[in-house]
Amino acid sequence: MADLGGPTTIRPAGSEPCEIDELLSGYLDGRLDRGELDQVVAHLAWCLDCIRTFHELRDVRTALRTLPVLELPEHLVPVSHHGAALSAYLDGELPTAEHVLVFSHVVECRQCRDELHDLDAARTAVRSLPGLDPPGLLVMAPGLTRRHRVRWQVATLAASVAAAVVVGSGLIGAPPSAPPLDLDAFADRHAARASLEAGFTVLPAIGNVGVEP
Amino acid sequence: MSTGRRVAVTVGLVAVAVLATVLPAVADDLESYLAEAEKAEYAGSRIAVSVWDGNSEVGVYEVAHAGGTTKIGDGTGEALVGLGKVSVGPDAVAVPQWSSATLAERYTEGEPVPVRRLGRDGHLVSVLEGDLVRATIVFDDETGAPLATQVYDGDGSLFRYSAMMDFDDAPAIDYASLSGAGSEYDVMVPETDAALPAGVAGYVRADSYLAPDDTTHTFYSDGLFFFSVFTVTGPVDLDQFDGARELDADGHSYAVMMEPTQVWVTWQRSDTTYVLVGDLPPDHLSEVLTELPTPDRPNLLRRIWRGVFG
Repeated sequence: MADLGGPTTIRPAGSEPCEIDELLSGYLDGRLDRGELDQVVAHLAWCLDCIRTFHELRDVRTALRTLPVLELPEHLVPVSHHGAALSAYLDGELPTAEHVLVFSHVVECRQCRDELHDLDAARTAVRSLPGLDPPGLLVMAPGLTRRHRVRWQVATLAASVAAAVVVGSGLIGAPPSAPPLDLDAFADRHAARASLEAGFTVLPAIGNVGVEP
Repeated sequence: MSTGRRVAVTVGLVAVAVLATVLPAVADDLESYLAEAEKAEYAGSRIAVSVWDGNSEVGVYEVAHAGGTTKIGDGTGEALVGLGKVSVGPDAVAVPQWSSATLAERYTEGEPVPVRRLGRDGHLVSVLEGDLVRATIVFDDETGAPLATQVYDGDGSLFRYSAMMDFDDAPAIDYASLSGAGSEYDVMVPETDAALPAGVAGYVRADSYLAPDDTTHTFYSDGLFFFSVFTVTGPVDLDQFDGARELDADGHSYAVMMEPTQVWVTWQRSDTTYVLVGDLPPDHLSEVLTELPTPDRPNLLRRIWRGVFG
């Protein structure tokens, strides 16, 4: 792990030394419990060495996933579980031959089906994790400041023009109509949350709300 | 999926109840029923009926359940629901964080009773609210699947019925189609500064989320039923509630639409529009509405009329 006394590490007074090496892998897998997750997120908010380690670990994993996969003859493929291939299976990154093998195995293997669903759930959780870019003041090169300022000025100008167009069209044309309620989206969000209710088994149903044939 | 129709995913109650701390022995048993139901693999067609104020809504659905996820179709399209995710074609939403609800103290559980349904052995579990049987669930002994659910209104009348009409305990399920792979999920962002009450009529505010369209989603549960309240600021078009029935709760008027598995309610206060969707029974709904922000103007004429003529 990183040298805690390194020049890029800014550790708040009284904070704990780096002890999240092993947690980073679990973080990427979405397998941390709430306490561990909070610990990692809090630590990565300030420790640039660990942020760098995190990015390296993630890059290595990405690189491993994109390596070419040898298409073994089927009789050489072990009959064991395909746990390691399930993630790539979900990503659609398996070559056709291996996809067929994994799919055939998943159909027959309850353990791998459960693992597939656990993995899918973990990936959903990982997607919601906060971004981990280092604090801007610590990494921004002097030249970037001016570039950002110019970009901001351009954005401000564009927003002003857009606002003027909107105001102008409002004065000249008919008043904009109110947007309709998106009940489909509401139903999806409610069902997603409701499906997590402990002790509940839900009947998800497709129904027409305010049907417009 | 028909593009000419707006299709919404709804959720209805099939099997209910969680661990009640006052009845650990019974609850442990029920909890095991529910755990088995979650893991069960089955398929078939299910009917759901809701009856309210003399009106009924009926739906028949094809369901396939495995790995905690249910695929369901009604002839116009298919949806995947489970593990905090919903996908309907390319549209998908996921909930990243949630709180666990516990069964409200007003509920108790009855002893499982052996029954037969669809020619299969099962057990019926009752959930009581005081002296009222609020819900019953029949679990299949062999697979653990929930075969039938009944929910009752406060006066004891049947409010909702849901049951498998045919049941396949060894379905040829296409597991790849249950993974939801290929869908892009909108992730709901947890909202810590919830504006709605922490508790209403025995329901606890479990979670609050902020959606990409800036609407706020607050989820309430009492461990048995649950509902969501969506808060939209600014003008909105309520055409989708055209034809909705009017519900009076404590002198306030609400627009209500019934579906086979749940109810929709909307009202407005100042520049805010509220939309409630959930599976709670009518008597609970009326109590909940009176404790949430009420519509701008109470139904004054109706109150005067009642005051004069009773």
